[in-house]
Amino acid sequence: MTVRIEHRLFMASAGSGKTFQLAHRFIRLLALGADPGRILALTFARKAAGEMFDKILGRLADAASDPGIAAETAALIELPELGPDDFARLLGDLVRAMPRLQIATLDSFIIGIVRSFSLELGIEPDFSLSDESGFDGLRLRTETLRGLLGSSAMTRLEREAFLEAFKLATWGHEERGAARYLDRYIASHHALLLQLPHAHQWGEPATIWEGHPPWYFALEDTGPAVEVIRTWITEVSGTDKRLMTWWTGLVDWMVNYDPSSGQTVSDASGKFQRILAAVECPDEPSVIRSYGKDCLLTREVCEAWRQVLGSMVRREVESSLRRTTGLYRLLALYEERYDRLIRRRGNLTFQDAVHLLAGCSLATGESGGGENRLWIDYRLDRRIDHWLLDEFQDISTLQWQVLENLIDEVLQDPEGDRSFFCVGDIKQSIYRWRGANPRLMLHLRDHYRRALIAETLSISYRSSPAVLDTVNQVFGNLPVAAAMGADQEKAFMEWSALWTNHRPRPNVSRSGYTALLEYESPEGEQGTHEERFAVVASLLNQIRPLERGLSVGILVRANTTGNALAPYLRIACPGMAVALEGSFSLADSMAVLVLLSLVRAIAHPGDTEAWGHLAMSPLHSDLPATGAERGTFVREGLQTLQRHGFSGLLRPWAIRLTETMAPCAFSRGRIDELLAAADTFDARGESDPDAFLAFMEGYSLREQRARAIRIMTVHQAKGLEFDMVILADLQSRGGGGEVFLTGNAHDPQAAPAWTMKRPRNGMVDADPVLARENLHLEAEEEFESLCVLYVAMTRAAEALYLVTSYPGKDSKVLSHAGLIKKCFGHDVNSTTGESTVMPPGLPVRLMHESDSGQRGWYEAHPLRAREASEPLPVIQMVRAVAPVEFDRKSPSTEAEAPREARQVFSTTARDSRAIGRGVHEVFERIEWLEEGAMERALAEWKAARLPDDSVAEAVGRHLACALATVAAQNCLRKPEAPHAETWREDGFDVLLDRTWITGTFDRVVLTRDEKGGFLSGEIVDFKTNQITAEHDETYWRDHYAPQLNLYRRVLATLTGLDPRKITTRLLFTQTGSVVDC
Amino acid sequence: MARPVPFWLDPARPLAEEVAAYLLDALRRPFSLRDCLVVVPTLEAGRRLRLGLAARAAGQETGLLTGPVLTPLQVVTHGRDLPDMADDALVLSVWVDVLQGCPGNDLEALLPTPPPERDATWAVTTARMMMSVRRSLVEGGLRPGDVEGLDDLPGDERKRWAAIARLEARAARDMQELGRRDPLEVLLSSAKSGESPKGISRVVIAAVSDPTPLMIQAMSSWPDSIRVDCLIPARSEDRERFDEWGRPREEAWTTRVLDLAPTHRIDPVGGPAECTERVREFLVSAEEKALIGMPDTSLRSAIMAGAEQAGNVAHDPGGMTVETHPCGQLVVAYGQTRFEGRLEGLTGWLRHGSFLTCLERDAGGSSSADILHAWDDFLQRDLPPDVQAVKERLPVIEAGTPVLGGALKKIFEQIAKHTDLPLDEAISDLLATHYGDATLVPGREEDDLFMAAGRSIMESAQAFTQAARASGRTDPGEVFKVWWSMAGEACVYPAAPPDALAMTGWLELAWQDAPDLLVAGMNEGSVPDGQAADLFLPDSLRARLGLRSDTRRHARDAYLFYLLTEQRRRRGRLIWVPARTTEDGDSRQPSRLLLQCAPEDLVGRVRRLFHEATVNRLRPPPAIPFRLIPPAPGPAPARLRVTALRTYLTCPFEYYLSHEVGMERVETNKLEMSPADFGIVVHDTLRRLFTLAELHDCKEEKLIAERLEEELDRLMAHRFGRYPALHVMAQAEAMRQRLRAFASIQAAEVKAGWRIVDAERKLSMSLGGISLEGRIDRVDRHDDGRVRIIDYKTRDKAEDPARTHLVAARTEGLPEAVVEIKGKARSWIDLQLPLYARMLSLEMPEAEEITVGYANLPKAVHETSLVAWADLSGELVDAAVTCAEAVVGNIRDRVFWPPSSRSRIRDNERLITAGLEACFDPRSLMGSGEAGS
Ligand code: SF4
Repeated sequence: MTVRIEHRLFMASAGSGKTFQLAHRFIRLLALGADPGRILALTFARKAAGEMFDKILGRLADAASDPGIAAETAALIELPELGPDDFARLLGDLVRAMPRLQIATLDSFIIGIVRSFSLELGIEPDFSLSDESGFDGLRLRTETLRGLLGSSAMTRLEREAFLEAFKLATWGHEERGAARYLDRYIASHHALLLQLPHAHQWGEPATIWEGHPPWYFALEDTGPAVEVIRTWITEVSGTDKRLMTWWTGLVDWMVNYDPSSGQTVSDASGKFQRILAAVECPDEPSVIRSYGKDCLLTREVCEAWRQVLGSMVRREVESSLRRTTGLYRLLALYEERYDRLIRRRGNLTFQDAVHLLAGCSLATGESGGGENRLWIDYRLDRRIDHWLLDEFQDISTLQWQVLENLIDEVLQDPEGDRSFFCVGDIKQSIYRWRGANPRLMLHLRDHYRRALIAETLSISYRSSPAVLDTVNQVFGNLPVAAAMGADQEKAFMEWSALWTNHRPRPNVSRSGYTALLEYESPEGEQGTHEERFAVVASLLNQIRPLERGLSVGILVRANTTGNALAPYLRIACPGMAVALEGSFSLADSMAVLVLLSLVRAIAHPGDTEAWGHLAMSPLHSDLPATGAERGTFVREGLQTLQRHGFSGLLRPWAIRLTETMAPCAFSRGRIDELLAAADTFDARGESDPDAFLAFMEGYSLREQRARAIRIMTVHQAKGLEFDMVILADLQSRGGGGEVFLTGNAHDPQAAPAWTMKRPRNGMVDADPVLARENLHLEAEEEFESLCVLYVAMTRAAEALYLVTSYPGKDSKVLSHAGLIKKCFGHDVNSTTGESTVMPPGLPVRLMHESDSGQRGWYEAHPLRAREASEPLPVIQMVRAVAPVEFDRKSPSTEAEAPREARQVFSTTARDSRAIGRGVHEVFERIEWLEEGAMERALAEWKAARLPDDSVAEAVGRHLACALATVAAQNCLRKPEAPHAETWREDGFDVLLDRTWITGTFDRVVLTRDEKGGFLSGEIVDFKTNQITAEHDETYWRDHYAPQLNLYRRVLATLTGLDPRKITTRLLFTQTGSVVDC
Repeated sequence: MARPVPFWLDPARPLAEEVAAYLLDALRRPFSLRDCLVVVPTLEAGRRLRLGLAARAAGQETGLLTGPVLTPLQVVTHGRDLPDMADDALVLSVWVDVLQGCPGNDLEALLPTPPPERDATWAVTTARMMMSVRRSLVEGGLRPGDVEGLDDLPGDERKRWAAIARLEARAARDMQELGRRDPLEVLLSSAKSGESPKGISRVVIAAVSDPTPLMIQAMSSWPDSIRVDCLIPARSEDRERFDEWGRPREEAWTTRVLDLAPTHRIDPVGGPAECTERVREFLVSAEEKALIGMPDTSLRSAIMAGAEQAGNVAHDPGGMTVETHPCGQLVVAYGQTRFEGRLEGLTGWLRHGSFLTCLERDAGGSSSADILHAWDDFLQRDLPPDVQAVKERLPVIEAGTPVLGGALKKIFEQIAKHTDLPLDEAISDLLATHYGDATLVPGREEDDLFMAAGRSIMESAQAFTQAARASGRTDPGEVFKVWWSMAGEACVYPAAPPDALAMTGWLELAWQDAPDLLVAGMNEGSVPDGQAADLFLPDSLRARLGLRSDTRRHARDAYLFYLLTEQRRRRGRLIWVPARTTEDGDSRQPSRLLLQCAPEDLVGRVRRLFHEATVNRLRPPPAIPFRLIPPAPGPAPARLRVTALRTYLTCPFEYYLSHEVGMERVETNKLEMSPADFGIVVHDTLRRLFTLAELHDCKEEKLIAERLEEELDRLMAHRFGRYPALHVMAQAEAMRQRLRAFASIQAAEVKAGWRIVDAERKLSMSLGGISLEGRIDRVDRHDDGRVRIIDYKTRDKAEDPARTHLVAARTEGLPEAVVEIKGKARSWIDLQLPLYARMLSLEMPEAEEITVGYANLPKAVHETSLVAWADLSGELVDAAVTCAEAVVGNIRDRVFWPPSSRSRIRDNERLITAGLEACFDPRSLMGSGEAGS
């Protein structure tokens, strides 16, 4: 490569063409002669990986066929000399390299590495992958837990250790369900354990405080201090009863505080905070103002309060630490078992894969892990010349640890023939809950500022000027002063530091529209969901976007809001298709539910709910009427299931149900999907109905519905765009659910050093170390909350409606709604704004709009005739042209006698088959029965086959018996004729009456005349069967007659002999009897 | 040295017919190919060829004596007597031993991170991995030593191959000691022996586009008296593109233009669902014989569904594994039960059709439903953690539920009987016990399959038993594991139903002559198939060693693409269907062959293959195709539990379904006591306060606690046996803490003058002609004569009876449920305590004042408390009775509709998908209800 390729980092904005940049970078690399197989392009979403490749190909195809686009592309990749032919050539190169391309999701890239290096990593190479939250992940977890808890193999000591840990973890909370409790914790905190594998990282004061925590010396006996305070209270309260109650309540609460109680701290936290602030600087007397009176705290009083407070904090923090320790022990017990029985045995989750790889580099110095990791890095490094990373803000610390060395290698490479390129938007980092660490992007930018060219992309190719104005107005001047608490303030400031105002693309054709609408609340009471829903419905009914060909996204924050909104709109917006995005479950079909109940009833005959359900369904008439019949029904059902799998069990019932219910394209589709899913399940080789039911419960379908109003969460909307967006869930506040505090989280690169259960709000602030981490955690939560709002608002291409309801007179919470109102110059709970009445008489206040002239923006998209929704094509059960096949018949197999299954399983069956084979093989070696022929054949056979003695002996016996009769000997003797020949164990293929007959003759004797024409034929079939009184020779003759007749016809066809010239014989080797057939 | 002679076939003609013509046309009658070895690419191709031969012969009104029709791998050992060749069972057993016993440094050379322990599971997996690595090498005519000897192999890899070679030598020696030879070694030495197969004078290689190097090695060594014909279907201008063995030359085929015939199409689809549609459309519109190619088995069910929707019987010739056959399922259940002690094993066994059939027959009428019902009940109640726990409780089960006890006993007896039996005899006994009496009729599809599966299981069981005996493996669990790891995966093949449409694999397609062909799943990874994850033999190494590499497969498949195209150039249709996404929505790439077009077509091809609009089919909105019809109510019950009234107050319809129709769910996979069970044990323990007289007026907290704990231990041991699961012990521990906390309350109450006078007292009262029944947890009497009713509560949080009985007034439901208290309208949601108070006062008229309350034993033990319902006045009790009368009246009048908005049925996702009213048809409830009101 001649040109040195620059390393670039793009700080992008929503709609600023990230993928476009990436695609062009890829093309530039191609044009500069890079081997496409050595370019690694990574994204996060599965869909994005496919889209990126499509985009690169699409652009190349366009440039190859259109000189205009070629010129544009050439300019963009800074190689203006390129023309259509060059791009055609690049397209050809790329396509040829397709099998080697490394365009993938980060997850699959990591899985790929783990697969290639599974021997180095010490896991089974053929490992299977499962999603932690999916069916398999859940099952592996339950299995491990069950094994752990139910293990009667555990020693007494281990059992005690477990119970002890459990008691610690649930200290003061005597849980009714231990397994339930554990399952919950493991599901949510197993990842944390993998990150922090050591005991000293879990609730160990020495690690957290690097010594004793400040409250450690707080006295347990606070009696004297309390006395001092009580005296002081009497003094400062004087006659003021209220003041007295206020102070006494506070001190009682603090003294009696029990960390294990369910009491919430929030009632008292305001008072607590004030005391905390007051005792902070003990050298100055502090004043606390209450009920209009200033209460002066002298130094002595301050000290007393501090003791009471310290003792309370100590109780709380110690309780947190104790429970953290217990929890660690439980998780560690679980992890040990999981690792041994699940992970090492080749069941990995995505999470495990990342940990395995990242863990290697963390464990330098431990058991050669570091060495292996270096080796892996080295091998990987040789595979990649160019790095392209998309959505870098979504990378997690662990994932970064996997890539870090490799990327560092590239960025520090003095040769300069390798390159790095990355795009991301910190403002869109909404995956913190999945471990994303957006700060890594800043770290990358700052750490490599010499090597990397960092650029900001702020032109939006998506949104209209009106939408961008609104976005700028909100995010360009966040009301730092109005922030609720230090956490929000910190988040606002960080955001502002990143912010650049967004600009519309040049020559934008429509100016767009945005509005902030609030439902007018009657008496200053807090508004409801339904009020906002009503506004949404009214907007939709007014605009009728679908009929105008406009796409609509209604974005919500929580799934529950979506779940409530979808049915509401289906009623309130007649004629509009409303689709709730996300994965669909099969269980949204009544028909599927009935079929699942059928499985349940068969697997659990005591499930009266399932039986009752079936009895109420259209299948009721096909069900067993009595208890006795039910038994047979269940058994037969299970047998069908065991033979034909779940799809085989359900298919006839599905058809029956389809026949009895009203025609319904939706249900037909769902039934098909159920059967397909059942097939998938069957293919796993499982037959446990409970596993099947769990599988079906978790089975999700990704599907798209024809032109619908789409309701989805902001997370689902990431990467999408809509002509019109309505935000209807601005009131709720997400986040704040973190149960654990982790230490060191403020350092973007370092792995956390410790963790502990987060002490209750307020109390956490009393400890400087915990307070720092807590502030950090909360600020992150606040920051992410801003990101969610940003992503939501920037989905809009043309119009954006922000729908709020009244937060309540006393609301001070700065929800998204409140924030937006603030940014437009309103108070959070102000009611100013133009009153409008929406069609169904809704009192709505227009609190802000981009430009009143554009209120009817949608008129520019004229209404079209309503298209009938596309019906699903009617499936006709017509017989397609039959594939012309011949029936295949194998005469000897079909002539086998019916038998008891016992024979099949007899341990002697193998020997009998060997004996049967042996007899045939010996006979095959005898052309004509001459002196010693039999003995020779037997000896040769023994030498060739080395049979077990018992088999050899039995074969010998058969032969001896068989040849004891003259009739039998005659079958083997050379007949009188000019020429005679034998066919022995010869296979044939013949078509007779359109049936393909395929088989083997045991022995055929043919005579020929002088000229070689056939004279006669004799077919001998050797039978090793027992001749018994019940099954005598006559019986067998009748039984085998069809087989031998067929042989006769076959031989006649082969030789042209008249069938009458062909004789057929059975030679019974146990008796030597010969039966003519 | 035999040298192949090429013969060119017309690629446009059906291949099987062409080869048949070549083979037969020079022969004299009777046609015999006994001395002619025909090599075909796959077994299925061989089948098609034999059919083609039969058809060709039939054209001359005869048939033929067939000779060997073999795949390349079979060629090498054909016609040889190899009695001392070890079977797979022995090879696996020996390798397992070798791996478990080999020195640490060999293992480390092989696996950089050796396993924490070399247990059987690990050894079996690793042994099988080794066997497959060696098989790949042997196909190429190579040994590990050949790899080790390569130049510039990285050091650690060289060490690895050296280690494999050492392990192999050790395994070979072990086999030798047992008088057996390693089968792969046999293959290699046969290929080098120079001996041609007995009785063969001629070899025809029939369109084998990737013969194994081992076969070529063998044939090359045969004497040149053996004629080797190599049949290659190709146009004359393409002849240079093949080597002498008929292999498409890599360079020539990976770069050549693969054009489509004018009538052929590339038709990308979104995912599997769209693939189903495309297959259906194709088959419905087919005018001639039609065929579906299935290079990608992940589309199997999608394709089969499409074929079925088009009215075909679809058949997957891929077969099924033995472990999915009912016989295999029984073995799996047996293994889990006997060797792993897992409850799933017992459940699978009890549910097994053959077992149930035996039970129904033997026990005369004991129903499968009863047994399984009893099993579920037992699992739920006794929470056994494993099989051992079930076994210990067998006497109790037999006494309580003889049907289940009998069934379990049978199982345990069978297992006990097997203790000293070798594997094969144990399995034989197992299967014969369950299936012995069934009559199998050869020729009946199901029975044939059954025999195949049964034989497969028994043959391998015998082979592994012998192998275990030979290698001295004695632990029956390990023997089972080693055996089943291989035996379970053996395939059996159900016969194709008549007229079935078989899904044909990629390599067999060229041998099919249907004019209309759709190839579904024309994607990278399927055509050519991917083999990315071979850790020992990565692609670059394969290429160097002459093994089947990616380029090799590419060349082969490009040639097959060409052949399929040529075969249908003049007549018929050919549709290539790549899928854009997997079932999970991951994007997939189309096969590179579809892009191997002329440069001028490339842009169009790219647009066609990567066009967005192909991605997904749109679905109709949800609809409700039928409504559930509840059964018509029968006569009113004579008795009612007080607790049933609460359900009625919540929702009349819910009451109807749960209390009268009797719909109840079976909880499965229960790990531990449910909250209700937890409560019952606590209740039962607390009864001791009454039944143990010494506690009646005991004021000593410690003693009370001790007695309660003793009782708890006794109850738990009685119910769960000596070794309950850990989490059940943890639950017991939680109960213990709660009971201890309550002991202090109890002591305080006694000190305050309260004595227990009754517990679990049954009460009843007639209301509206129905007897209302209840049971009071506990009755106390104070020294001063007051009486109080106490109900124990074990919820997470402490409860206040005033709040659990009355809530802010509700607008729906019975008017009698609304009562005014201190000027505020309230609604009854439960009537329990007031009704108890009334019932008790009827029975104890002497009691002056009866109060009620809860004893709370919550999660946070310091909240343990007695909470009295202080302001339960006489009027309020009257109001509760009035409300109860109304409820009872409605129940008597059979009024169960409308449901209330709080009905829990609304959340029942097993029954309904939308609103309750939309999903139920209440007409069956209306008649009686209206008549009554
Ligand atoms: S109060 Fe003390 S002495 Fe009296 S019965 Fe109870 S334990 Fe015995």
